Amino acid sequence: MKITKIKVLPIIVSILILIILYQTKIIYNFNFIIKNTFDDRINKIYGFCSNESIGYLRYLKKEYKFQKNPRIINYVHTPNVTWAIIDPKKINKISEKIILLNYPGNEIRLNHNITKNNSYNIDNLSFYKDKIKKIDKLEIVLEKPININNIELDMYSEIKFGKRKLLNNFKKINIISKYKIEIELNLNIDDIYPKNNNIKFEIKNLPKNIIKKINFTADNKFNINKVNVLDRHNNCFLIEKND
Amino acid sequence: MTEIIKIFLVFPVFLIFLLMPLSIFNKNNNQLNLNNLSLNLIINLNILLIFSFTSIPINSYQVIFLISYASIFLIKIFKLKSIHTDDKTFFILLIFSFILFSIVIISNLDLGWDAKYFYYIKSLFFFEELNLSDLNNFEHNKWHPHLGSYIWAFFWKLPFFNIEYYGRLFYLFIFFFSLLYVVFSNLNNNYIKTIFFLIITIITFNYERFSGLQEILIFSLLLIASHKVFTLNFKTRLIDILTIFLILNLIIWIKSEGIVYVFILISMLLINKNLNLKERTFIIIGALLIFSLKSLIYLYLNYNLNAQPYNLNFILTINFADILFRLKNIIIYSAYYSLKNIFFFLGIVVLIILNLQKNTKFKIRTFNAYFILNSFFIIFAYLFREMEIIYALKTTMERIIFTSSAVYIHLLILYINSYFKIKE
Repeated sequence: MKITKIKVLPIIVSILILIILYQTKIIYNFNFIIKNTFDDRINKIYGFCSNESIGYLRYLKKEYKFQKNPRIINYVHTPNVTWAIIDPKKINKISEKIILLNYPGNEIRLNHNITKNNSYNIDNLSFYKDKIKKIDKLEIVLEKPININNIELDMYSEIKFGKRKLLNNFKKINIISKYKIEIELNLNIDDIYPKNNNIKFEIKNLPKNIIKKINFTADNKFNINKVNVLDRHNNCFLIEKND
Repeated sequence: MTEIIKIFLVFPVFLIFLLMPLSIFNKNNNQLNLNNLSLNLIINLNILLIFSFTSIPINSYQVIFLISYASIFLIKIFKLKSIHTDDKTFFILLIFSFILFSIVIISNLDLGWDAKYFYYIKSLFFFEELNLSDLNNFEHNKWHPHLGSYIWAFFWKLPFFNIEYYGRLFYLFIFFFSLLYVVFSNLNNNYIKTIFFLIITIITFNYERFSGLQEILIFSLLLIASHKVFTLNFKTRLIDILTIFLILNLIIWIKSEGIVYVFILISMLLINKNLNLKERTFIIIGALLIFSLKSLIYLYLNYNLNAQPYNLNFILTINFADILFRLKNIIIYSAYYSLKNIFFFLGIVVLIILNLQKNTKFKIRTFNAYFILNSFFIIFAYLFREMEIIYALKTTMERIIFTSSAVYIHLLILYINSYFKIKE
């Protein structure tokens, strides 16, 4: 009995060690460290100019030696990226320089999700606060041409006490083509947020399953052609406002 | 390759925190004194806490501190004739697990959400030789205390290392030490110790816990504190109580909810039948002292004492339907995350079994108290939180269950030990 016990325990220990080696992917991780420098790994994990774009921020910090902390605007929704560049000694000094990460162009398409037929939510308006002034329009691409005379769009508040409140109704429709229409919104972001961090839109008098695609569009607060570009890498910019 | 070599080099630096100032070998048999090892860690972390209150930058005392400790230890170690096999196993497991999992951490590098918002930036303040009053300029400073970030900065600032993850590797070191401390203090056979240490490691390790989040520190300290509370020795209990207070003093300076764990541990101490009135009074005064000290320092630094999302006005507006809705979700999410955390779940199962046994020799009162108070904490923390409840549960419940599981891991080790003793 004792002999068995003595033999079994080292085997269990060996198996557990093998499990740990497998769990930690030790060979892969070892190789990854050997083949990639610290900066390479940062770029691979966070992206150089994609997602959090920490690589680009670290490059700017090294290259420009900022006297004040620049403002960072990331057009991709990620965790805070300030940590990569902030200088705590200058924490209250905000620079005129602005870093734009993953700049999408002059027009921004707002992320939305479909709740049911012809109903759409825009979540997390706080994300857009520093990127747009107003939500301009709703573009609707149709499956087939239809009569659009009675179409209306209702806008509802965020859920408070289990209910949404009707905030606005839009009727002004522009026909772009047989398959494409636009509803003018002209919604000032400061009028909606911070009272509501999410809003719901409901398209009325439109048959079900007729919508192929929709886009909520807004003008970007930053027009790259009207600012002083100090540095650029793909869609990441270091800019200075001209005014 | 340099980074891998540096992991081997940083290990002895971390080890110094366990080896000094108290002697780690028993005078009579040259065996490793695990209690002194843990006490050294606690004392040294308290020393760092004291330094963090001053405006002395880390680099002006760090090297002197480490070199003087290392020199004294080397003089002592030369007098040592031999090392016991158990002690060798302890150190082999510590270095093996540390090196292996360090490679995972330095390969991954990704910081956790809260680390990016709070802890890394606070650590950067200390790294850049700023102090606690400068932290007032950081808008997110109010949410959590600073000790975890200070420890992070201390090891980040090591000469020739200077990469942030060396600070986080110290969290890994404390984690493995606390596991080994509890396993080696409570189990007998060397193989059994190794097996249980490896099993707990396999189940518990998850990169995110070492991504700069502070729960791992509270978890490790709770594990050590749980052992100290449970094994309160009649002869040395004053030293034991003092050690527990030193641990509690660290916990309240790591995370805001640390204050709740301090309250729970104090309650576990107070229900110990062997303590006399004088000792109970000493415990209550001690607890008040560490709370008051923190409040005084916060007042002095002009920090916000109550920045957490709890306030009376909000609590008064919660209606019955809201309470039911919140309770329903708290139960659903806590059940889900408890089932996901095997130690938390098994710990509660074992506690129920022990309560059903009539002649158990286990001191289950201590663990019963923990179960009741910890459950109340989880329920009330979410019931009265001024935050969207589902979001709060989804983003934080897993971490609270993990932190709380430390005491249940200790209970499971004790239960397994008693099982093997019966078998023998």
